[in-house]
Amino acid sequence: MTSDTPFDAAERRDLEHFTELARSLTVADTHLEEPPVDLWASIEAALQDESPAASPGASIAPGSVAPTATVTNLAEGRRQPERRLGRVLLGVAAGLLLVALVGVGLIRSGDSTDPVASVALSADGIDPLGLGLDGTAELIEVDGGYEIALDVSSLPEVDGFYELWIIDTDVAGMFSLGTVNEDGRFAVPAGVDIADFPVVDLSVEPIDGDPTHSGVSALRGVLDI
Amino acid sequence: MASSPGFHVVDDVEAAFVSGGSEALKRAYDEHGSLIFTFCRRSVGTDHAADLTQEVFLAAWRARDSYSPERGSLGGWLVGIAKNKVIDHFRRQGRRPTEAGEVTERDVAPEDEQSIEAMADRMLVGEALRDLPPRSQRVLRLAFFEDLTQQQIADRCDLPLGTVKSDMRRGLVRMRRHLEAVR
Repeated sequence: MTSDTPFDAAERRDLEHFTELARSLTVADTHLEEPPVDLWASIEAALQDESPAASPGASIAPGSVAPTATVTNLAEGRRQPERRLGRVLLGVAAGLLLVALVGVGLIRSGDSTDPVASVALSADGIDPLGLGLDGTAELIEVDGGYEIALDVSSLPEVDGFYELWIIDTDVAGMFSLGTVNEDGRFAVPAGVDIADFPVVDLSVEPIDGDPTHSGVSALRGVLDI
Repeated sequence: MASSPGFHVVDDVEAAFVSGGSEALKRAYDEHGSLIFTFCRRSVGTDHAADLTQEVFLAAWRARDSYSPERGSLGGWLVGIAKNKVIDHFRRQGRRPTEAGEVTERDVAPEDEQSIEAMADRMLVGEALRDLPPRSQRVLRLAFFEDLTQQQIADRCDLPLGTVKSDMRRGLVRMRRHLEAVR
């Protein structure tokens, strides 16, 4: 579905259902309590007792993960401590509807120098060339659009060149942001909604005149936007 | 636009849990322990909450092959296990009504499976909202709590209507994912 198509019946039902649920939230539903500090140790001990050979560190059981599935890590930024502020609502009477607290900013209003989003790029699960790179990609808002600021540990010589892409999560489409010779900023094409293409991918391209993605990636990460 | 070989995009805690490597269960516990413990405490009271939470994570580890990200979020899946453990707990106790004057520290009555389910859904919605990326979170909060239409949200945030629709769509997909695994 494109961004301009009207909501269908299923989406409208979802919206109604979640609106009703959201409006029924109380502080008790969102104020999470930490378990006792010794609980994890107890769980770990119970696991050891059960099957000393099969600890949480055991290898994958057969059939549990399709070997061809590649998983990509989402932005670490989602787990930053300040996001957990939403979990601790101090000094508010139980039963107070969450609706009344909507003004408490759980969304940080960044200033214009902060990146909108950033992600650690990883070679895990990809990197057929074994380059072992790492780096970060930041989404920066600029006048009239966005840029991706790329910072890579190194760019070893390859048979070909490096290219930066933004890809949608359905892997139905992608845009090339251009050739990468060094760290720098790469403009997102005007009119492209970056939130629809959050996967940042650094590929190694052969010099063959074919503009499509080679299928050989060196780094990848998903912007949380 | 071009196309390329497919890959799944999943949460890093879910990915670790699926791969079953070292620290996998610990990461799931770090991420979702408070949610499960709070749900258990509100269901069965303080005395039994820690034991039940332990049972949930042990059961989750034993059943880890049955979890896949396609089923929904890991948090939702864990709450589903917790819900079943709570119901079993009450059945074992014979659903004794509370004695007069007893402080239960529970938010649900033992015989009321429906309110246990409703509480699970609400807590997951809260979790899902917290977990949304900033743009979807802002749009959905305005829709839920201020009852604005998409056009009103677009006007208020000075965004194109299409962008509001996309952000809302994306947010609803994520929220649905949090709740479908609990079934």
